Amino acid sequence: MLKVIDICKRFENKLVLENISFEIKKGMIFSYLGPNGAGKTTTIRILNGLLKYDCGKVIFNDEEMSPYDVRLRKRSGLLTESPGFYERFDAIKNLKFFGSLHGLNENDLDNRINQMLKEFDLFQYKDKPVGTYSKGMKQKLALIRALIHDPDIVYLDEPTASLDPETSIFVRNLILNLKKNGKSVFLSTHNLNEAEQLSDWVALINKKIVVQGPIEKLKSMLFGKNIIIEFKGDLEKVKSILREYQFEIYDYKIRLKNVDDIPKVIKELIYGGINIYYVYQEEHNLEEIYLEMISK
Amino acid sequence: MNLKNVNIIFQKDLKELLTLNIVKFSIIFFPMLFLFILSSVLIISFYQIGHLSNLPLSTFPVNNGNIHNLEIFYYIALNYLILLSVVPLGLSTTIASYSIVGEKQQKTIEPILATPLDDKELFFGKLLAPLIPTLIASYISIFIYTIIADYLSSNLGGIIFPNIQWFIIVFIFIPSSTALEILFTLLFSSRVTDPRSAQQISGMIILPIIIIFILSLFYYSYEPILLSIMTIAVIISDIILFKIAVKLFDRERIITRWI
Repeated sequence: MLKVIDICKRFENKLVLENISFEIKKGMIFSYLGPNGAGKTTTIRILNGLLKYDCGKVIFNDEEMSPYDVRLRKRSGLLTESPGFYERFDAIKNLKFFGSLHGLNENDLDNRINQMLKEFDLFQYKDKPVGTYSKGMKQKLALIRALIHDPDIVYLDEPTASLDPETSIFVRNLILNLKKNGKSVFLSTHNLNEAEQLSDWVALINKKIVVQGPIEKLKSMLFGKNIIIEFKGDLEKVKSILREYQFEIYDYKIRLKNVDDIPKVIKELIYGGINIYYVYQEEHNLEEIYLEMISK
Repeated sequence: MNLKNVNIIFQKDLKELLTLNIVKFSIIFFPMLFLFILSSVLIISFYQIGHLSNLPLSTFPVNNGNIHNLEIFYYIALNYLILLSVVPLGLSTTIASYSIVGEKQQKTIEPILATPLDDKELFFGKLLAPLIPTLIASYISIFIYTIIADYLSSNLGGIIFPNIQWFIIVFIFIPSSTALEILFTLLFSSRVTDPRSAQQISGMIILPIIIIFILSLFYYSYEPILLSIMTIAVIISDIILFKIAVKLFDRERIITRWI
């Protein structure tokens, strides 16, 4: 659906994006993670035809796009970092304005607005000025705006930032529903738990892509498949039993680097009189991957 | 360029601007205030016409040694009409600055640019939104003024407006100078976050230029050719500034400067 090949971007001779490449397939949730100033919003703006890129290619639905290409904007939906509405207008007026700029005819637009306001629990507030809405309500309204023209791909820039837990759950469920309906989602977030729960593919960016792939693949690539053995017994004795193996010991836990050593290590520990309580594969989360890679 | 999109921007801006009390007040109050002052002065001038005709003939541009009361009245009425054209300039600065700064304050420009809207469509929408209400409000006051001037002049033996000068001032000079003012405001509003700053900056730069044109008209308005030359100068300035503004009004500049 969307292929980004080696795009770069400069602002007044300062390189802010360097050879960014990735691919987003239909129905994929793609998380784009990175520190502030890493270029996440710039990438989103480029892919929505708001900023031009200085090199590289963007291929959307098998067609090569040009910078500012209107085809990108027609088939994409954008949730901007701050919702941004005409505060003195009600929800209907706001949505009609943005919907009509997407070329939707009045009847279709009216029906779609009413249907979406109901789905997002905002129908009863439709006649109230948006300035009176809570942050969560504005975010829901901004999501309706991003989806009003039924785009193929939705770009969500920090969709749950500073939202209450209830609205955050609503947004996460919405993202999963979009995926279920075959829509692709580009998720830029600082919330690593959210990205871990939702993503099919993760890209870490810090002006250039640091690492990318499915989370499980990243975990095994970065940390290997370490095995943890929890025990009780003499630490020095354990160290002497395991002297021929690659391992680390902390808090009465042995971290074995090589999966193939497990049977032999367990056998030797038991023969050595060490009590073993648990044996399991070490779990890593996205936060550890993020910190490991960004620190590099 | 899709005119439907221009109209969508124009309609939205107009609706939004009319929710602002300062804009509603400006649109109604200033044209009526100028109309009241200038019509009052015109009525006073009408009753003083006998005294005015005692002024040296060199005071008036038509100096054939046999100046008629109607000609004196026409000269005065024409000059006040030119003064009335200051109204749309002030009004348009106020409205245009709120139109741009409003988008910045409410952070709505990014979602707008994320739609299939073209930069030029946005630009034309933003140009028309202050221009149309300003012209309508100004034309209402000008037409009332014209009726008053004609009613008074009919007592002196003739109808003075509309004539060629009236048409040039009302339908060419006023729209083109108002457009010039709006173009300046559109350019300078992008650099500030407060409507008042936008008004001050654009007013400081453009109003003196326009006022020079208006003052010049006091001397040349009697001659349609000279009046036309002055007006053409404004139109040329419009075209030059328009080209600059369109070039500078690109989405990357808007995104990086307005947000």
